[in-house]
Amino acid sequence: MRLSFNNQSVGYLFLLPAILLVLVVAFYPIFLSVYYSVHETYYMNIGEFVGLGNYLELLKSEQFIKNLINSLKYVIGSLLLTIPMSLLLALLLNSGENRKMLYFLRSIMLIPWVISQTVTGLLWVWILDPKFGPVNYITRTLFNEQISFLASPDLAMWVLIVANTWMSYPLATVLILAALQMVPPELYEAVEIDGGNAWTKFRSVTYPFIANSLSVTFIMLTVHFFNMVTLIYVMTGGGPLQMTEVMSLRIYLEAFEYQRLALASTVGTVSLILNILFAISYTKLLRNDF
Amino acid sequence: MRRKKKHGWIKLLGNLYLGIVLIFAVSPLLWGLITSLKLSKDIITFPPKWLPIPMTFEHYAAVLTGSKLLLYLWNNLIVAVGTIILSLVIGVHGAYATSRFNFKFKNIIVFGILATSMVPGISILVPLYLSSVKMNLHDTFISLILVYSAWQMPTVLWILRGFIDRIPRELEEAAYIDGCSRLGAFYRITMPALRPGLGAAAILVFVFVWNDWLISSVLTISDSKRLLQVGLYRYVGDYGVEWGRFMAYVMISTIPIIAAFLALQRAFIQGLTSGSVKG
Repeated sequence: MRLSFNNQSVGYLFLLPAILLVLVVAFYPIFLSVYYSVHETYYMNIGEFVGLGNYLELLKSEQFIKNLINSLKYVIGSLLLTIPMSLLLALLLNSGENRKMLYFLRSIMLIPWVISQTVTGLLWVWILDPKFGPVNYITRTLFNEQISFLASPDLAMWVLIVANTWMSYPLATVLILAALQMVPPELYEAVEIDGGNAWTKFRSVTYPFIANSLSVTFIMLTVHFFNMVTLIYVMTGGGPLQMTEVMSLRIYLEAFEYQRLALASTVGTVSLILNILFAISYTKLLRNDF
Repeated sequence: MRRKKKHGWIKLLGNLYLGIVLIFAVSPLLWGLITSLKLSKDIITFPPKWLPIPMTFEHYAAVLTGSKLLLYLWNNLIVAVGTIILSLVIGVHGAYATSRFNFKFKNIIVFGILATSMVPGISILVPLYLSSVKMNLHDTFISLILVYSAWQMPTVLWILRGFIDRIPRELEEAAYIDGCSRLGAFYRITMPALRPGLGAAAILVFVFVWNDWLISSVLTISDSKRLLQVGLYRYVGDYGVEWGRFMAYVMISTIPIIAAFLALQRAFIQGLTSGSVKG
């Protein structure tokens, strides 16, 4: 006798708390945010309706363009470092000759993943300290330059990207490694017999198997990077000269430091729209590939 | 003969890369640890002193006695446990429903829930802050637990659904035939089999709550409700330039998590990969 799982009501019932929780805490605030963005606000009080006025003002502002460019720099820069780094690392960790040693190494290399953004920020600020930090020791002994990384409008973003990569590569590596471990070894042998080398192996065996995981990782990282606030806030606060003020940080600053609720909500809604656009275009791209 | 030589080169480069990554991964933490054990005067030297000799624990003592770290740690524990309980209870039922049942709109609902992980946190946090103030829920553990649970719901659902998918329906059907009710089968057969999944989800939720700064800094304001990362950030802000102290605070808040990670690695990784790798 087959267990009947046709009971619509039980299914709904079991899912209901999750739906409610997410509706109240995640969806409802989105509407509120849009609501605030179409009004004037004075500190935390809602004033009169201004339609798209806030949006027009924002899109015309130079600072907004700066925010957008900074976000792009941060996300693209971090992706360019993180993904190749993780891919190479995963491939090497998977080549599995000295299993025990690799397992031990892997454990250590994954540690940055459990470090909070606050701690990461502080650790990197300290290691980059212009007066007493080891990095400056190297730059001073080799190049005779004392570099104040986080005070430099040009270098600060790079430093943020490196710190972000430090935090993010373990997750990407684990995801790719898990996919790599699903590749049947016989396929590699088959390529070897046919006279292929490492590159052929990668192209015809490895890549097709991990393409899906790579895509998932890519999209996860992009969303994560675009919406990140804490690391940047802790390391630079958006400076110097707003050169590291990314959009997500702008929302935080407008809401909680400058108390400009409408502006914060406007940037917040724009950011949300960008997130959605990205997700849609990316899933479309995925479908086309198949 | 030639092949062996080529192999040697690649291997060397590979090991070099692993070495670089290892150094990259460990240096910030190691430098922080060393700093926390150095005498204050040895911290502000150039060239930097590489070894903490003479060694001191004065920074740790100062942090433990002179700051509210222990209180914040305790708060964090309470909120983490509360979040784990709430999100796992809600999540396991939801995951069971999405895995075992078929009902109208199921896919849309699931998609909707998973989509919230794509919503920029900070955009939601601003209205959440206002709402919590208006509803008198600002600066409470409840608001933290609710928000964290909702935030982690997609992850928990994703992980648990992956685990439930792997438990054969036949197990429940066998119990049903033996006279168990459908719900009984769920609670008595499926749930125990889900322990590794629940464990993995619990760990990921714990790490998230432990490491969060953004949500807790927005939703709490008093010491009695403050969490660890916010405490750390304020400590650094309040104390001028005292890197020995700062690093001691960092180490105290981080080393437990690192230890837990090393001990429970398998569970961590299982949780991370159960949903994303389509088998």
